[in-house]
Amino acid sequence: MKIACIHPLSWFTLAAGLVMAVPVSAVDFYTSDTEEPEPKPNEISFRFNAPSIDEDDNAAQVAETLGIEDANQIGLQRFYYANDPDSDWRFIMDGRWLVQPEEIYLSVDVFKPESFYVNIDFQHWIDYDYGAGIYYPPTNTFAVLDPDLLSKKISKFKLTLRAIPGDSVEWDFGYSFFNRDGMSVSTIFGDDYQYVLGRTQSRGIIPALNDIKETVNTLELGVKSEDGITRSGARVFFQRRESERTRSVERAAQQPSRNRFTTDEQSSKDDLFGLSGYVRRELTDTLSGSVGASFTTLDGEVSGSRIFGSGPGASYDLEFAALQIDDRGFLDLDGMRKLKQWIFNANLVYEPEGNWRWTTGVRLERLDSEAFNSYLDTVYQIDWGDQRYERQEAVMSSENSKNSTDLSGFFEIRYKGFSKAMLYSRVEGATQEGSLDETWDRREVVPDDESMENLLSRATEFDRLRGTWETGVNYYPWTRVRLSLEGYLKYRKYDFGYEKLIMSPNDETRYPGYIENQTFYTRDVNARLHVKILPSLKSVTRIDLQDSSIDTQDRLHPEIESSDRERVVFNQSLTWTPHPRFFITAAYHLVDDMTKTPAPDIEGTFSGILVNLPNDYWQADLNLYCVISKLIDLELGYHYLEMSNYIDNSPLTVPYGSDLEQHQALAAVILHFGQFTVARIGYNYYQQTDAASAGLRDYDIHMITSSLQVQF
Amino acid sequence: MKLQLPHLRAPFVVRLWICLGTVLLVFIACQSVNRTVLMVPQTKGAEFVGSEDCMLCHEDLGRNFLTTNHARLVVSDETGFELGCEACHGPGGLHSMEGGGSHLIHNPGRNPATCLQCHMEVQAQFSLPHSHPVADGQLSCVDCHDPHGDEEKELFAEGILARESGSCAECHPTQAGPFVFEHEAMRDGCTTCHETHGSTNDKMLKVRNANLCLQCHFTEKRQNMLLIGGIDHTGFNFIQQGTCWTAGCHEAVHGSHVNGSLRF
Repeated sequence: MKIACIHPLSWFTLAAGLVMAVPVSAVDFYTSDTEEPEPKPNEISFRFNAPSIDEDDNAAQVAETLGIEDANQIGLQRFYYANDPDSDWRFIMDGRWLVQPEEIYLSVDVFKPESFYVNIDFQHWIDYDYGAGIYYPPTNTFAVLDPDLLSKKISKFKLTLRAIPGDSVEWDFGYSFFNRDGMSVSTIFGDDYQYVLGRTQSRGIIPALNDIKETVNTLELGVKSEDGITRSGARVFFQRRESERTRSVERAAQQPSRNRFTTDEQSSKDDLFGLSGYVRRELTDTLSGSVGASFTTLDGEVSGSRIFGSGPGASYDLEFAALQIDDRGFLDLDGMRKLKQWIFNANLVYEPEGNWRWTTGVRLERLDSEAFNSYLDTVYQIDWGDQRYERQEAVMSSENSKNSTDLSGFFEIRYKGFSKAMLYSRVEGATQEGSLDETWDRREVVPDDESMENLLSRATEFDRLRGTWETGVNYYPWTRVRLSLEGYLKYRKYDFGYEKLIMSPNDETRYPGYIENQTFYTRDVNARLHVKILPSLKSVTRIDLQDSSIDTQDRLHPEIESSDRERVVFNQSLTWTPHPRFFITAAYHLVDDMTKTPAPDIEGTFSGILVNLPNDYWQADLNLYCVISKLIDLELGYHYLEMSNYIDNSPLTVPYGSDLEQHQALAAVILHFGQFTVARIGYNYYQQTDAASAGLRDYDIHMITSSLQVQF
Repeated sequence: MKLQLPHLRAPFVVRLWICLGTVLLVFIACQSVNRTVLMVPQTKGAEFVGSEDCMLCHEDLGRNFLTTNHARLVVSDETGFELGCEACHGPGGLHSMEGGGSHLIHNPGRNPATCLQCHMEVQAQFSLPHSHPVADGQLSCVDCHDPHGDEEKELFAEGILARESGSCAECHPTQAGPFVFEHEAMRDGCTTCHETHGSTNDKMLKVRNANLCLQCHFTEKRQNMLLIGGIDHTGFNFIQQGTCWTAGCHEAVHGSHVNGSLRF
């Protein structure tokens, strides 16, 4: 039979054609003879995705990069309901509830227009964090971490009540809550290579686990009033920020004879109180002005410890054997911090008859802060005479008192006299003057009870100058061509003057003590061009050229250029819609980014240790959507990313960067089972190869996706 | 590019059938369907009406919008007619005619696609392995940016850390301080060290190696020592141990309560 020789693809083509050609009687289609219905306001949709992650693949890496867990994803993708818009009371609910990955979103609005309004927003999701560092070739080392440790649960809640008792007055009450709770992982290269009594150690990759619990509770009350000419408002708020962070590091994981853990626990609790108000008035037909002021206080306390022990969470143990010089920790941290901030703000907007808009404003800020800490310093040093470790304990105190005054202003002018163009230019300037007094004292109590030693006593008078000038034009010569050109310059100069400076020889790293002054420059030009090449073909191009540099002068040397960063960003997208039932979009992104410092130019013994590292990458996207038949739409997509900034400097120090490629492809069929019922069945493919991790971060994932949406 | 795809080598008759089939599909589709495809921020059946129409109900938003950066896109000629409110929200004809209805207008607060059509470089950053989860839908552009211009925030000049880092502190309070031993770079905000949309580097850092720090804390070669901040960093091979913050030496990069060198 000849027909038996026809390739299976041909059968598929025929079958697809039949599906499109033969109406499905059970489905209520609209056709070319009927009007396409408007969308319904309400919606419910479900999702079921089934990923396939091979056992050899890196599930933790997948979770961080793609947010995909190694489990079926199921849940309510969206639920939206709004009652009749003509009702006296409106009710709008929007939500999402996914079981895998765990994610909840709920927004509820209940309001009576121009009278009363209630809004509740709740959001909860999991943030994956897989900071597994990098593969270290000389020792064939890579930190393989438990994926279960790698997530943080994030929750946000906000309640807003608004009452409008009269025509011109509005009251607002708000309560919001933020919480982050979980574990993240990063790596360090351990304290290897540091001096150990008798010998040095080799380098290794060391996991560092951060257990984090942060909450922010905020209460606020506001009132606004408006009479058509004058608007005014006031607000009072109270916020409590609480943070508990525990960082556990296994210091020498591959060296049993030297291994020990540090557990660094630090907690803080801060109360902020703020009061503010403003008045805004139409002064004339062409001039409006506003003034605002605010006062904020912060009152906080900190506590914590950093302990070396045989395991994470160990208690301070006098018998724990010292394994390395300068193993430093602390106990019984007890601290406070206070801050007061006053801000005054005034603005004018002038719109004379014609085509100008002038805007100007000034801002005055005063900031006073102080902080004090006391703790017990613990450190192992070497008794060179007896050739043994010596445990030292010292009572420490540190104190900081700072005040600063900022005066800043801006002036912006816009000209719209050319009917097809808007020209604008803006200048900002800011000065800051202030003083910083610091003291840091140490009194050794073990092994000897010594007198107080002053490690640092410094009074700094600092001043800062900042300026920005930006100018640009948006020009639309024809409906099909839009051009935006912009450039800006930023300048910052910081000076640090020391009226009094007493520093221990061992503590010269106190910054900004070593830096006398610094000047920062940024020069940027960017352009964006929208062109409708054809009625159905749109092109958007964006180019950004940026150069930043830093000039630094320290206490001993003449000024040098300590940094130079050059960045070129090019983006191009094309959208082709030759037919109302079909489109293709393509995009290309290229970033060429290099930061240079003088360090790599150092010759001799240290040559090659420090390198200039690029941050280059490029991406390409292609998406296609096509209405094939009454029943079927087709969607295809592809995304490619390449980052190639890897430098293996492990013979001298450690490797840096990534040599990474990502492919993402999708194919989906969208089935319209009637006017308001849509199902989507698709296949997604994800692939990553990262040569920098010797394949240990590579993955291949296949995922079947599906969803069902019903509008009502 | 190393993507491994199955090698396709179809005989002529198969390729012919595929071509004929494709033509057949397109023909049938063109003859039988009137359903249209919409790209964000279009709304089915809606046309552009201009920003003045929006102001009839959204006067507050419009008033504040006039002094924002986005208002610089607006010109008086019809060539810029679509670039007011509808540049981001899509054509508002149906929304205006119905007197509201969130399903009849695009909301970039829920879907950042509109923002990313112009801010293309940001779209690329959100696709990087180390980025804020905007592409995944947990965050949106308006969580950190206010495109309309917030009159109250501007006039209140509100609160501590009101500058650039203010929105970061909402979700990252621990790093906000203040600390007894502060890191000077924090005064200029988080973007001194971080690419806040996304980066090629872990922790969304601008630079992956010690050069990040050495931009300000420059190195100095003196005799056979390499000094950073006046301190020899070669004595115990510190400089070879990795980046400043991953070598186990300067862990408290945002500020420290107890150590002047920001060690912990």
